[in-house]
Amino acid sequence: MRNRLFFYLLIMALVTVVVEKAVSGEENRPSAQTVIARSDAVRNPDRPFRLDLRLTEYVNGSERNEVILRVYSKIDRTSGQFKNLVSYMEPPRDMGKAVLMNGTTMWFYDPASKSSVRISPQQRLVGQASEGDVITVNLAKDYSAKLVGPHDGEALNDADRKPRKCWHVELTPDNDGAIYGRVEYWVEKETDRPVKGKFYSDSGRLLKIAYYHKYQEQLGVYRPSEIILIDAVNTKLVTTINSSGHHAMEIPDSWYQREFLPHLKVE
Amino acid sequence: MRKWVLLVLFLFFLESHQLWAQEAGDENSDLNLIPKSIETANKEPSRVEHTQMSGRSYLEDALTGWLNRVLLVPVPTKSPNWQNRTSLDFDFSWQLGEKVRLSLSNRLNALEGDTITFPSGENLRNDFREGFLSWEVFPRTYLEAGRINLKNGIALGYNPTDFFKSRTTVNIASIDPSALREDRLGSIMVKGQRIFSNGAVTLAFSPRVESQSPLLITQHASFNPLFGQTNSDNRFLASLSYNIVDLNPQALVFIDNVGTHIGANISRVMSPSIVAYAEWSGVRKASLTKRAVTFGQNTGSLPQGAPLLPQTDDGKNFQNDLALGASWTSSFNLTINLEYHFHQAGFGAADFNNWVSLGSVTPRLASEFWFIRQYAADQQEPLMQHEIFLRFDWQDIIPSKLNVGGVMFISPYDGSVLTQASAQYFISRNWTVGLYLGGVLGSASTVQGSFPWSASGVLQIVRYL
Repeated sequence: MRNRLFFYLLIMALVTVVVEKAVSGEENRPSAQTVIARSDAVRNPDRPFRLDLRLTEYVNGSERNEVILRVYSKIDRTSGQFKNLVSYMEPPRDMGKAVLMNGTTMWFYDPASKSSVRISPQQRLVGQASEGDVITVNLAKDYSAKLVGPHDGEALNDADRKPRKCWHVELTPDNDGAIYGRVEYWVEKETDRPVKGKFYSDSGRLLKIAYYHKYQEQLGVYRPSEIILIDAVNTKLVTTINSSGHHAMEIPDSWYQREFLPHLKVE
Repeated sequence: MRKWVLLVLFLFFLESHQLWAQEAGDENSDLNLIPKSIETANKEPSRVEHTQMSGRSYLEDALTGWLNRVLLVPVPTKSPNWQNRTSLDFDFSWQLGEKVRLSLSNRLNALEGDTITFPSGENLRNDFREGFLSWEVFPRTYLEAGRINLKNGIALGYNPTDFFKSRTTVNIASIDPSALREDRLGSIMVKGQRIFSNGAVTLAFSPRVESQSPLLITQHASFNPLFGQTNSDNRFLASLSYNIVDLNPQALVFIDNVGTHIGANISRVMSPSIVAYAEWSGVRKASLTKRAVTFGQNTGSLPQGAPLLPQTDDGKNFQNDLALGASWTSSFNLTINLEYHFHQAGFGAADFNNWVSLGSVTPRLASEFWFIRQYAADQQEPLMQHEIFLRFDWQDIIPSKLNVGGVMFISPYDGSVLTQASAQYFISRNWTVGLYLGGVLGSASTVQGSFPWSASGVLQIVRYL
């Protein structure tokens, strides 16, 4: 009799714990798409803006190269995705080079030859200008999101090794504008701040690991002022991206034309 | 009692298991990939000084050597074995007012070599590439005047719609057309441009300011701005580009002393890693030979009544020019461009055979025959009707340190190849070393094998200022 009572209590306890966890998790759980949209809003201002990026490349822990870019970003009203104009300011050999990224319309301008070359989405990932795109990409527009992991979130250390309670979201492309085959993303539950991202190729190869940290107020919202980007193919290669100089400004649509690239003067 | 203890332990395990499941233990191991030097570094956000001036300048030294070969059609001038060029390159623009900019682009060269007398006036040459004022009359409506390097076209090996390309070459440091374009002269012109949210309209007029100057066959060192090359004729260009169905088409009309040229170019992203492009132009004009001999006679380089190399079609017909190509980029930063070039006014197989057979047995004709090739190079048009172009560009083989590349011009007539491989090593923020190695594959009777040299090498050192 005591054995049977013990057995019933055990089953009831098990069911209670599981149901309680499932129900409480579902009640407070936002949709995955909402999580990503909110985290996009943390990274990206809701109006046209300009910012400067300092990219510092480390190889085996030693600083090896530094690039400074100026990015002019504006949301395309049709696609909901950012259009970016990226201009090189440093090093001197790259001064004046510019990349236009407007959906699948992408051009690279070289002031030395005074010519523009059309580039593919894959080609935009070559070189440092792509990092400007990593920063402003609106993931919610190009990817379908799905919450994975435990119902009430996942504990994850941020780049400063502080524990954060995060939503773990898996993103898969839902249009041709998506440049990654899959993305894993961790967003802090309390603040909607992105903490970490893992970016995969179409073939499933892990390409980049990004850590978002050093949150500072920029254009009215706390945004990551530093992103640590680990090259997952060559893990000895790590790049930090420091952003500054956020400046809301009117950017005419005509700037996002290849003919405008020679007129883009960075001062 | 023991069972109740077990129940409590079980519940504790269940709860702790849930907690454990929430930990991303494996994910946190990625933090170990972040070097300590980054964790301790306190990078200041980018601070960019705002000035009224933008651009770049650099000091460059390029030492070039050639291995010459015995030719079937001898060249009329001595081919160099080596040459050294030291250049101060300057390309800046200044904001003079809210709407007005001044742009200047210039290269000063010091030259030495086995075919250049030292010391002499040939040791210095100045290339005044650009100097113009740009006025933004209305937002995104520009009026520009001065010497302007106006370039059109989207292909890499040959640009049929780059109508201002002829006679703009001042220094052939590389056979890579994209490197050639880096030191090209602008033309004096007035240019108006309106950029819309979905396209652009450009109008340009380039006046005649000097009479036509002869070809710079040998190294002519001087401070001559060479307006006799770039502005010996009145020319007019109109172009319209409009973004439609992701093709980015551009239509062009160009009028010069040859006739009215029409042209178009389109490009499209075919897949995430492939871009296809096409560039076409057409005009009623004479054959390459006819135009070259007429030019030579008009500039006194060839005697009046010089015999014409027999070219199949000697009349003035509608001639097409086409560059059809695609680029493919790999996931490891390698980009390959493959292009087919069609130049209807150029040599066919029979014309080239005549060039070789007549030029090799009639030394008197050899100099005229080479003049035709030099004229084609000066006009930046292919010698032959058909050509295959292959280019590869592999960036960041050593991340941020080493890029390599190469170009190949392949003759489909005989399989001969003119090729050049290049490597650029970025020593530091300001120093770059470049190495270019060229070679010719094919016998002396082939299209590419008939060049005066069989191999070449350039060692280049650049200090950005």
